[in-house]
Amino acid sequence: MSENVNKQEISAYLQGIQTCTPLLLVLDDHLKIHDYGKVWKKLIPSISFDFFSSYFTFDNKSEIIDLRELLKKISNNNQLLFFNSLDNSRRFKCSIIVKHELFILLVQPVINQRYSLMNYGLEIKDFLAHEYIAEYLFLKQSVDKSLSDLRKLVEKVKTKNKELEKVKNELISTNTNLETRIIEETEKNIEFHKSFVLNEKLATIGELSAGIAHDLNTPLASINVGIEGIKYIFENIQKINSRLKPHEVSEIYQFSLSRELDLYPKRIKKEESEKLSQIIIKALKKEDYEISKLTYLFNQTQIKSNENDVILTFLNYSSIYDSLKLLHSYLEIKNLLRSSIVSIEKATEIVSNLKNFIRNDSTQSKVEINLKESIETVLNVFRHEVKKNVALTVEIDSNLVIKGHKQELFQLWSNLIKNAIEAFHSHKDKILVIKSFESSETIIIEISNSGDTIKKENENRIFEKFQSTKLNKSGTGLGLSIAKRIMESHNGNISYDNSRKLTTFIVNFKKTHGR
Amino acid sequence: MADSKMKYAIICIDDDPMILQMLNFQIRKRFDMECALLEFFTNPKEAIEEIEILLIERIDIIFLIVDYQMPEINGGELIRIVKNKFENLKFIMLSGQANSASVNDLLESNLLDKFISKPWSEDTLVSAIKPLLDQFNISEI
Repeated sequence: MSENVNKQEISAYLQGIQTCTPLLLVLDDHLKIHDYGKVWKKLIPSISFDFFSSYFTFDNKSEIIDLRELLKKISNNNQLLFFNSLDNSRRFKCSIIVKHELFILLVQPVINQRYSLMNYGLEIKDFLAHEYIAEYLFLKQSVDKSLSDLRKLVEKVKTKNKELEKVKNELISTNTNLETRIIEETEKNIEFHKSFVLNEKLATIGELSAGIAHDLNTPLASINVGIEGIKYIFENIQKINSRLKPHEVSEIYQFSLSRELDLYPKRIKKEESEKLSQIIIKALKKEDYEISKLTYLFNQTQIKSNENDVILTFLNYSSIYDSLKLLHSYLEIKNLLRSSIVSIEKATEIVSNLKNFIRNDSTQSKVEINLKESIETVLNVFRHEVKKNVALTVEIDSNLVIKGHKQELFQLWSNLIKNAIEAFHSHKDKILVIKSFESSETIIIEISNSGDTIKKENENRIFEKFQSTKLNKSGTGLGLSIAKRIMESHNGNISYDNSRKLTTFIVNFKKTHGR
Repeated sequence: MADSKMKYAIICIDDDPMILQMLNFQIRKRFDMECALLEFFTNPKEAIEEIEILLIERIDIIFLIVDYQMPEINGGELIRIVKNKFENLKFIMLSGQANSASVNDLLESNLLDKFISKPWSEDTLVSAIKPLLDQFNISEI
């Protein structure tokens, strides 16, 4: 009876343990299998009674004399028994309870990095009977996996980092090389550009040379006429002087100092001539002088009918014709001198404009430039070209001043004006308008012409280098690209408006505030 | 009347006063201009107005000297406008562009009597205008 009770008691006890420990092993006193957890069936389908001692190897085997003694010792000392499957692929641990002459082994798989649950042929669901264990195993497995993944990742990152560092170093050295290259190339480019600007300038001068020669010819011819004329008059004066009294000559000379002749005389009105004739007739009281000749001479010396005293003085000289001719000669010498001086100034101005235009001083620092003066200097160089039937309107505020390079601005205007003139070619109406506008932020110069409009297909590239779209292909194709560069170095920009009645280039200087 | 001796006129048109001054000096130096008006204009429009006044006053215009390159209207256009009204007027053209197609065109169309290229010598001017002045008995000094 008591044996029966014992059996029942043990059976219930083992059943309870088994739900918690699916790898439960129960051995009898002969170490034969008394009972086992169901999961074992999965691991070892043909479980025999002596499978425990024949299937496992035990740690510290050499110490083991008797397995039964070992189990008892571990049980008494509350130690853990570690054992491995024969193929060493599975490791287990267990605590041991000795009860009713049975060894109850609460076996658990030893799960570490090397022994995953899969190696045991087990799955988490095998342990579902005990959720805590399942959860623990699952988490441990996940954590282990994550940890190992993380370690691998860290290793990878470390390697990548090293590679990156290497690439970075290479990049830095390449970059340094590039910087030097860029500086070198930029310097080369600047030199290249300078030579192009100069070429463009020389080309412009070449194109202008015929006009410039013509512009110089007129003042030179005028100077020549002046000098030849003065020589001629001096030769005549000798004859005239001999027919007048010395004091008369000196009086006439003194008188001539206070008077001027018009460069070219205006037509004298009929009434004025008649009045003059009347005065002469009245004063002379005789008709033997040729009144009309005298009137002509007075007219020529530009003595007016209201200058009674002067007329009378001359009519009283010993030779009236000669006195008037002498006065006229003196006045004409003054005139020829005056026109020669004006012509010399004009020629000098043409040459100095050209000199200013050619001089290459782009390295100089920026100076204050009056825009009106700057544009007019260039218009003077182009005077001959602009004169050819071009209706020129210049409306520039004379107070507009910017900081800039004188030469570059000359170049800018020159390129734009040249372009405008070239756009006219066979157009009948040649209108060139240069106007200024000012706001608080900007100064704008607009250069408009009535010539060819910019073709649609050229719109995007007119400011690029070597884009001559002109019919005669006379330009170097650099004009507008140079203009653009000049504006960039003057804190401004250049654009155009093709939609207006006149094709307009807009030059926009941003005002620099303060200072 | 004293003024009655002024029977003729020569008109010079150039936008450059220096050119007009030279013409004035050279013509007066070489020809006796007591009977002829010598008039100068930098503005072609004023010149055209003057031509009309002279014709009303029955003063014969011997010839006109015109520059080719002028700002508002070129010499060729001016000649065509004037000839359209006054067919018999004679023109001498001054120009820096001796070979210009437009000058040749004017010569071929008989719109131009003489062509003088700039710059000119005094003798060139004299020999160009002398035959015209001779017709009006204006003699060389």
